[in-house]
Amino acid sequence: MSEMIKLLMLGIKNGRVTYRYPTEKKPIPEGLRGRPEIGFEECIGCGACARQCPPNALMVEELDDKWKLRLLYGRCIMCGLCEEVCPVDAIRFSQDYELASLDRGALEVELELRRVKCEECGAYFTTERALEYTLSEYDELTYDIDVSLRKMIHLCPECKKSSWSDASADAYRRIKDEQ
Amino acid sequence: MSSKLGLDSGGKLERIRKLGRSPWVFHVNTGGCNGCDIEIIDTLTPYFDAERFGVKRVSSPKHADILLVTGPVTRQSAATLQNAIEAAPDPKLIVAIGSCACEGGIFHDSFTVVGGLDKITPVDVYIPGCPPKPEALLHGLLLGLGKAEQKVSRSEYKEGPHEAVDNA
Repeated sequence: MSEMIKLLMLGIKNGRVTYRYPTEKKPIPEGLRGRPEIGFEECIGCGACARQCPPNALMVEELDDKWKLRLLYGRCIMCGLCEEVCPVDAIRFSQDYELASLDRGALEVELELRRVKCEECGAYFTTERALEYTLSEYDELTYDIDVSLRKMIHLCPECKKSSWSDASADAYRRIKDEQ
Repeated sequence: MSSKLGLDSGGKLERIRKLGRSPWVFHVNTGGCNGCDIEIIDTLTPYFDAERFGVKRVSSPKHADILLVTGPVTRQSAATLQNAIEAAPDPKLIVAIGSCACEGGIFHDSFTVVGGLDKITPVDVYIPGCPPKPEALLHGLLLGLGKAEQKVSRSEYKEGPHEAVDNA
């Protein structure tokens, strides 16, 4: 009996501890990573996030003139690496943690961007937004770059390689002729 | 397989909502890291107090109305999981807890896992998170019982067709 009274006194002293979740909501701790959100307008389509994602929750699919990014909330482990690598801060972690769903399809996000053609061979190689971003980055450089280098931005990696090797072979020949 | 287990979900959610008694839960770990299991135990403590909704953990699937499944369903545990699902009486809710149970999570491409609970059986409620917060678990539970609303939906964005840009 005395034990029970002790417990009762303890209960009266401490009061209610239960957190009445659906009706009462406590502030979310700072820095909690909930659902990742993609800024559709900001994303440039570089694919750095998909390369970094450990569980492949972010997946890139390259069709002819389209670049598709798929995000599965069901696979995301909220590690925050995609937010870290994004060059334009398009992907951000919200504090939204109530992700329960009756349907797997509701846990998907899809993003589709246009791709551009290589100026030399005509193959699709990058997104329009990524190209714009690269050009704007070059504008911010403090030193001058060669005009021919600037042109190479519009070439696909293969053409870039061949044009670069052609240019260096020409230069080598020129130096040899001068000697 | 789904018809054999009586899992065609037509009207099943309605039936479990009209059950009219406390939903008891049975917890199955199919090879997870125990993070989600700790969150489930946390949800059952007096702080989050899932017993407010009548939720009580039982130690046999034969007594359970809800199966809480965590882990990516390893090949070794698939048969045991099948047994547990068959032992639970209908109508039952099958809840996939954590990224591993939802889609395979970090283990999705491993050769040792089946990769996701829905490759074994139809799932009623998905609760993603690694691990999900106890609040998220309660939300998922209430969603399954028809007492809360779903907050996520599929979103899509498409950049329009090519403008007349002359590259050539």
